[in-house]
Amino acid sequence: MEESIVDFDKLFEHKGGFAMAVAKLRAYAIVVIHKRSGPKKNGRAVAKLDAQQLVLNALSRLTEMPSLENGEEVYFQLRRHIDNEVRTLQKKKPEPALVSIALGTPTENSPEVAEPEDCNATSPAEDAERSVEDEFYRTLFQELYTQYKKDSPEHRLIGHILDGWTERAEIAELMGINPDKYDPIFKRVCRAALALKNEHLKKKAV
Amino acid sequence: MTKKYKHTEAAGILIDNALPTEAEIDAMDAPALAAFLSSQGVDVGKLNSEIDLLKKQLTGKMALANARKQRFARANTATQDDLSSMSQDEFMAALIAKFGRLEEIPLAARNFKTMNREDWESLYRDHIIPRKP
Repeated sequence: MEESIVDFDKLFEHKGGFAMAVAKLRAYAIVVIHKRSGPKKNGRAVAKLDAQQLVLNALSRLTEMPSLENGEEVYFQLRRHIDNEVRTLQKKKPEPALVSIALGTPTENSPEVAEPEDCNATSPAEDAERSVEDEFYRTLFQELYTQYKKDSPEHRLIGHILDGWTERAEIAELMGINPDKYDPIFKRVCRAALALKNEHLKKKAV
Repeated sequence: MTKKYKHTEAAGILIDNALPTEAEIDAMDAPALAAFLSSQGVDVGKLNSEIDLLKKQLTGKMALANARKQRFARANTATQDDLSSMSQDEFMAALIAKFGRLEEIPLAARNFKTMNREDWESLYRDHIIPRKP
């Protein structure tokens, strides 16, 4: 039998070898799942994805690559495969439910249904879904608030983010603190939000 | 920020910042990577123990894919006999032997004057060398 065609450790030596590359791809897959999961139907399906399987699926596509000489390019392509698989699931359009709206043949006096106003109208179904999603996050924020004392820096930070502030320097100024002091507070609140999101998604899945 | 879905947008900001970026993952050393994966519920010991098996499986897949590509390439490459050592007289002799008379050889009406080396080889391959099934 032919000897190993590809030296995977050499291919990924810029990432610290094959084992490190696989571990980094696993970490990346976990991050993508967290970011693309949500309370909507597709988001909940994404939450159930297995990061390890995503990595294995990407690696199995190594046989399709025209060249395995540039390890950096191969690694980026593997990352793209992982993101594409998750994004495809997240963006999948649901099959519309077909509903029978007319039975039998129309008679002379049967009422006519007017055609709805045309395109560029937002889909009511999509709007409803976004509202449900926002309600999910509104509940999440209510719970997030309860984790901190009123008027604590974390409490005020959450309020500013909800008000639409995004710039680190501006939020720090509103809070009356140094941006360096702001960073650990911000990270704490972010991790708490992520933990709550995962907890709530698990409850929805049950 | 769109007021209508402000909770979704605000949550997006917090969640994005709770996670390492691509660059941060790439920059992680082994201990940092192990710590992150463990915090996400990954059994790092198990992950490491599966690496050798994964490498073998991938090597096998690559070998199989390579063998298939080579077989496909062999099936599609026409084997060209090397006729470089044959002279024009030898081509003509073989063609006369097949067709019986000089006049019966295809392109005889041109009196062979316009034929070049490539034409002779082509004639020879078309009429003398048996085609592979």
